[in-house]
Amino acid sequence: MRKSWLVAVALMTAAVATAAFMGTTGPTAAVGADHLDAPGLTPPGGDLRTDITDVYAYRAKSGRTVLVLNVNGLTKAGRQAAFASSTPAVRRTQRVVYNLRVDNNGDARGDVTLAVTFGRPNAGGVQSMVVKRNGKTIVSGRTSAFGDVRVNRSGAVSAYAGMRDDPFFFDLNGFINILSTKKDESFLGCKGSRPDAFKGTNVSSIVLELPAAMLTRAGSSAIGVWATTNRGGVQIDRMGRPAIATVFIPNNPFEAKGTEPSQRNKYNASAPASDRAKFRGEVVDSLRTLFSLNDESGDNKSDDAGKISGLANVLLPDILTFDTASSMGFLNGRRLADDVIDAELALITEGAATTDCVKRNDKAFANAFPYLAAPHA
Amino acid sequence: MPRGLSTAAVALCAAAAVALLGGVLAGGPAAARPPDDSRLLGELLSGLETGRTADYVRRLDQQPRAAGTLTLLGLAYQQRFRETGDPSYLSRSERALREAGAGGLVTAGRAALAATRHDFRQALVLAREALRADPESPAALGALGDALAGLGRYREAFAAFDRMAELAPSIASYSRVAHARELIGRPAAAAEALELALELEPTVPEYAAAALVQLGRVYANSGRIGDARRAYRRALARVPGYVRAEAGLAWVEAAAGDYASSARRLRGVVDRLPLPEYAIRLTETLETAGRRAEAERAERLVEAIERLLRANGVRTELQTALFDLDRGHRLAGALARAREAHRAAPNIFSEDVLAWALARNGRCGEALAYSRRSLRLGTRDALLFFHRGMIERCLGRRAEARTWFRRALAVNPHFSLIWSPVAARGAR
Repeated sequence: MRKSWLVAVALMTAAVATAAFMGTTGPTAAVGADHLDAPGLTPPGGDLRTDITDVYAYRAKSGRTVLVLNVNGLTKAGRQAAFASSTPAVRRTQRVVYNLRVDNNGDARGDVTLAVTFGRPNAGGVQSMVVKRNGKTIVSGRTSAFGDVRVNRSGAVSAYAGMRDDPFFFDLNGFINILSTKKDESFLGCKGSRPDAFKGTNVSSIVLELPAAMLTRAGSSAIGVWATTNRGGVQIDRMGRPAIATVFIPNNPFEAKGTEPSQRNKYNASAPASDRAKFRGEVVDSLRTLFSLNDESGDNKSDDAGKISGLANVLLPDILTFDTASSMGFLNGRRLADDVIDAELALITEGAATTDCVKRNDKAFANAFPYLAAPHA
Repeated sequence: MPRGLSTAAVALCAAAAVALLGGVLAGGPAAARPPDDSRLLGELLSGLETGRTADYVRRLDQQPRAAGTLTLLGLAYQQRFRETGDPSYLSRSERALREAGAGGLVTAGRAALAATRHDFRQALVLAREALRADPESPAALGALGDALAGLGRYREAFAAFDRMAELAPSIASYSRVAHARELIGRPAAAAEALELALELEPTVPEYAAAALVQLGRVYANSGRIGDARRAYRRALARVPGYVRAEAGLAWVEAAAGDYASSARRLRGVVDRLPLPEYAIRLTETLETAGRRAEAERAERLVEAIERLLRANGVRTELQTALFDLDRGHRLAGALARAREAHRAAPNIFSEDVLAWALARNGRCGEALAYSRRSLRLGTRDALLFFHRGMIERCLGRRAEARTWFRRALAVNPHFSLIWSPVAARGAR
């Protein structure tokens, strides 16, 4: 339940709804000069390099804060990491920026922005990278070649970007079959262990470790974190807690004509500060349905409305709340090993589903920076 | 950039998951699109290179009215035309799409087909219809931009390309941005857009090869022969034997004066992908090498290819007019065809050919107005500059003529086997 599903949805939306083919001016037909001869097929789903799959924030053993921004989900083993440098329009080229945004006074607005930008890849796929804090460079260097770990350091700040094993773990197929009554197709009521659909896949990962004081304000160790990808001034994608957009913002590509249009694009382009105003209705609607899953098993329905309202206020704004002084995990920030799916399932289904029976990642996490496991080769 | 098969498969599963979840959340059944279409499209996206049409035809034997399969067949035929140059695929595409019925995908496919045939007005109508079904369809936006550019409505066309590139970063969208950048006279920026396109790992290797061929042409149009050769070789490294890259290399060889190699290579190219552009280049290469009998045979081949294209609904007036004008054949007829082409597609290239046709018919005052219009975007195209030079000379303005000839040669000294020497003499 995370953003890579959005990729998938985008993939299918594009594929189904929009002529994946453009067959366009293919021929060098009638005129030499004016034909375009561009390839026909538009691979759907947009640029996966700017599609955020997961955000992590936790306190490292060093006491510093670790922030992780992953993109390019479901990358096959052996591929070099790729980050977008810029995108072309007819009359300009816009920089692509990967942002980790931090609210440190509880108003759901960014007070500190860590902005990461990349250069064009060299022949080996390695890119230059720069990390700025509120516009000022704090560390710069290069991305890591596949399988290598190149740590870019400046003072107490460390930065890594490259291909890593995807730390996310989840029984995707069990979720696909969540309505199935056939034994073992769904994870509902599962015991023992079930398969991790993200086993063996990699992500392009940005990992930063820095003193919490660079993120917090004086007198408080509490922050809220979310990530965005931007093209020039335009926000392409964003993510805070795992799964919020996927589960709660209607994005069903197979919606029948005339039903409510998806708000996915609107959501991805929005800021957390307006989440309650714009999307609380969506979340409440969805929670009502999810809370009804346990009605037949004798749930006391009378307290649902109050619980739903409270939960909606926790889920929105979509920010990963994190006390930088605490080593606790999800819902306090998010550590790599946290089983966020189990935590969220129990929360949003009022206990109807409590686990997908995938307890851990397919690779062990490292003790040292950049913490994420080496990529599958 | 996991766009391989397994990704597509997972993506499809995930989409199904969300569809189901959507059903759960809506409290009703997940709606109404045949999942088979999604599966087919997934297949097409992940693997289509050649020959896939046979599969669809086989499937249609079993289910003759399957709209999804008919749609894919119609689209796959357009790709087959790209690959083979056999224009009968266009007529087959038209039939399949007509039988497939209505829908955004079908309409966008028909828009693309019309643009391929250079019927830009029809393409515009269909692209807009497809966008009513889905305002964010990258395919429909691409067809819309192609149609508008074909009709000379560049501002709107560029807006469509920009929107398409935002919604669907892809070789298809970035190559259109690159084309637009070339039109506004920024070849270095066009090359940059293509390099950015190549960072987006394509589903089909042929698409990367096509982008590299376009890159080669940007360089070739700027007279950068060595860079062009490198781009074509990169394309051949991606897709061994890629015929459009072979054609590019042949172009480079002729530009470097190696006519024998160029003609040899072009014969192979024309055998595999009989497009008029390649047959014309073969004709000119043979003429330049003094091999007249072979050149005449190649010229007849050009005519045969164009007849075949016309029989399959492709407009060819502009190309045949230019071919005749360059040879001094049927000048009055060429002017009529240039006018016809300009009426159908009033873009800078038809304006240029019309200007050239008027000039070759001695009507240089009228020609000047069209030449001015053809240069209104600031396009740095040596042929357009050369035509302007000839018009100025015809009007007796020798200094202006010399300036335009020099400009043409500065942009690309190899712009034409026939006319580069004329420009060189005129520039002195």
